[in-house]
Amino acid sequence: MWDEEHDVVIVGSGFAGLAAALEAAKICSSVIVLEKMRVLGGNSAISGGLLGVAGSPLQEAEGIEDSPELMLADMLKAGLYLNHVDLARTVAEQSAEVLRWTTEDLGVRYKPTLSHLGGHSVPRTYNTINTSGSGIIKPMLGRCRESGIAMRLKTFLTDLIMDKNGAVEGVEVREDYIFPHKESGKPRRIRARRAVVLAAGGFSQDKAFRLIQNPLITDDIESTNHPGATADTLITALRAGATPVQLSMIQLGSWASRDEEGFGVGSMFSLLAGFPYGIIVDVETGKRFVNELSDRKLLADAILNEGRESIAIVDCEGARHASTLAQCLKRGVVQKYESIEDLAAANRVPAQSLKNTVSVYNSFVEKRKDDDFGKPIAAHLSPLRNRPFYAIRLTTKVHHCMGGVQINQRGQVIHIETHRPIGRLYAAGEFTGGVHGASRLGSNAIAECLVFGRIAGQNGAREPRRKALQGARQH
Amino acid sequence: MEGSVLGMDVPDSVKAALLLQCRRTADDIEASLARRRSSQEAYADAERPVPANSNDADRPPERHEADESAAYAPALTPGSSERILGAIFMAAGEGLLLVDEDFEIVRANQRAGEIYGVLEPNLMGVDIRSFTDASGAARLSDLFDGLIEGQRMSMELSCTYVDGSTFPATITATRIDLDGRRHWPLIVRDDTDRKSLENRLWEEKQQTEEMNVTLKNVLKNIEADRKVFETSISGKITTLLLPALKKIAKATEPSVRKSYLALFEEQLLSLIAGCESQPDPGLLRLSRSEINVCRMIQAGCSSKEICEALSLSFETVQTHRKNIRKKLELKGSKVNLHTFLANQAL
Repeated sequence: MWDEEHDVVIVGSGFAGLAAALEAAKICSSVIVLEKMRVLGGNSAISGGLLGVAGSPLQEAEGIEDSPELMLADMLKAGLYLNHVDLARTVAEQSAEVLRWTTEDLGVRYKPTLSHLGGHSVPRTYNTINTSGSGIIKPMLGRCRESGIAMRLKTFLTDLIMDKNGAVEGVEVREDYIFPHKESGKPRRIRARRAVVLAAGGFSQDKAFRLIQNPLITDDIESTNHPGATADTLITALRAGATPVQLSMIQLGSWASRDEEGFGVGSMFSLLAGFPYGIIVDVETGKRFVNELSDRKLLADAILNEGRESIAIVDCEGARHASTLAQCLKRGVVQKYESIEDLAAANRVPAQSLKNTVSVYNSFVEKRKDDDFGKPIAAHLSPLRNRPFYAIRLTTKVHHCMGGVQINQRGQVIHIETHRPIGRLYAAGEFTGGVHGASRLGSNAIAECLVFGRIAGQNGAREPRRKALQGARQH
Repeated sequence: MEGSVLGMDVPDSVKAALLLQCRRTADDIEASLARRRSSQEAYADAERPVPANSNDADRPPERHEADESAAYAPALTPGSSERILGAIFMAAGEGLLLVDEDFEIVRANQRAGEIYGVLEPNLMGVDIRSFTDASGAARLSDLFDGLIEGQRMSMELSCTYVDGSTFPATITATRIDLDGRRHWPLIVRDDTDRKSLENRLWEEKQQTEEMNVTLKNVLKNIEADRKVFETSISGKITTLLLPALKKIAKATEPSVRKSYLALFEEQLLSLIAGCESQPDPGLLRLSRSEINVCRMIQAGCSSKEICEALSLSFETVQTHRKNIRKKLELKGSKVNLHTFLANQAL
């Protein structure tokens, strides 16, 4: 009946899955991570590596006052108060501890300055030294290897197997699976003596599924995600009785470049320089139309609803904050211009209008108040005067799924009929729903994944151990 | 008036002919270029130009280049051939990378992503040297610097997987210059399997060699044992048996001789004591005809068969059997004579 058995079986090898694995391995001896793709890390490895933390050492050093309550308030405001507050609070409250864990236990290295991302009322975002989530994933994978956690690539979850009491007893997978061919590979059954943790991410690349949930997100809208971000595991969980939460809340990112695929290097240019230190301009009119530091939903709505083509412009002073600038220039994702006129000509923006826009914006910066769109003008923000100027052609891509399965604060998946936890079934990260409500603030995803990944791993590993079976491979 | 062509004096008539020839060649080139242009447009529009004379049934239709290319590769548009090349690149079984002068990866295929444990888009812009150790990085730099365009070289080096573990790999590099910048296409092969096979082969070889040495030693020991044994036998023969034999020869009294013979027998038995196929001492007491009967029994013959083979009466054979059992001290025991004799050397 079973081909092998482990204490804890984890589905997904991103931030949430690996955090669960590392915590579980501290408690029990045999932990396995299943990943359907050919490489580990999923979206986490290609993300920007931004971690939002309330009450961090860098904030203290920079004299920034912050608290979990303030972070929670920001999350609720951006989430249009649709957030499951207890879950959102858990993320805000444990963000500082999770930062400590990454630096002290995992040895993750961050840049020495904080970023101020849209929708956050204060700068609270750490960024990995290599401006990529791989800066956290790699140390996690290294630690997993040292802890003897088994990693199984090309292994695709096809079913959750329940025992007679309705608790999860194991998983059915296809091993040697070749994404995205459902019939590829061979079936195999893996028993979980203690628990199963689902950390399979979102479905931003699942065009059919996301169209069902939100018909405004049509096929022609690309995604910043890796191709494996599909709804398969979500559907498997729903079939087992999990409760869906807010599946139509799908985040569009307006920071990605029109000139490259996926998340690329341009996204981090927009997020770290273009938006906080520059302006977003409608190509047709040459005018600003939004607070560049508004949260992602407002930004995307402002761009998408009007069908605008837009560019972000920053001067050389602001561009210093973009650690991916050299790569952007090399790949032609960001262009450099000696004057606003050149920039306008190359991007077919009305030159006079653009010059006016820049000078009006500069006057707002000088008087520390944005009369038009209310962008918060931080003390260190300077007018756009220092050449060369840089521009990135923006496009809107599907970035994150706020919705997912319902969990409680212990990371247990909640059954749709009983409203009680499904026995021995845990979930964490983008796979779950409710933390972010209608819109997730930038840099809160990694915090969520690590916080709830650890919680799910700890609680899953503490489930009473089932008796080992005869015949199944022992680990 | 005479002109000069290529330093040679040529008459005007020849010059005119040459000029005409040149003009014709130029016209031909132009015409061919025009045809090629039109065929390219045909590619782009995915439409074939209709030959001007296509409705003229009397004349054979002219062959247009566009028709020819379309006939050879009807599905190939410039875009699709690029896609096909891309697909081949992505599907290749070995890791393929294109590295630029900054050591940055600018293209990578699926297998390369798999080998390093990094999604292909994440490989772009990564310094290839970050996938190896310091010595590997230095050797890669040397390899790149040493290559001239078109040359191909391989090296083995230790590479790093995404979880920090290392694996042996073979890198084959060539150099091509694109847009005036040097680029190095690399083939990366994960040698983990090959190395482990090599190691196993090496270990097996070591084991075989060790086994050889052991066997040689065993043989030497056996040889030494044999010499010791021979020495001891010959010693016993010279010190014990030969003198006893002389005494037997000299003895005149049958009773004395008999006792010497008994002694002799004892000496002989002591010589073979400890041998593996030690004959039952009782066997030595058997007479010649009794031993013959024993051999027949050992071979599985019945009494009747023995009678016939040895030309003896049935009674005689039965008597022999009785005496054999007596001498072998089997009298009264249930042991079958055939079974007993089966393991004896006769």
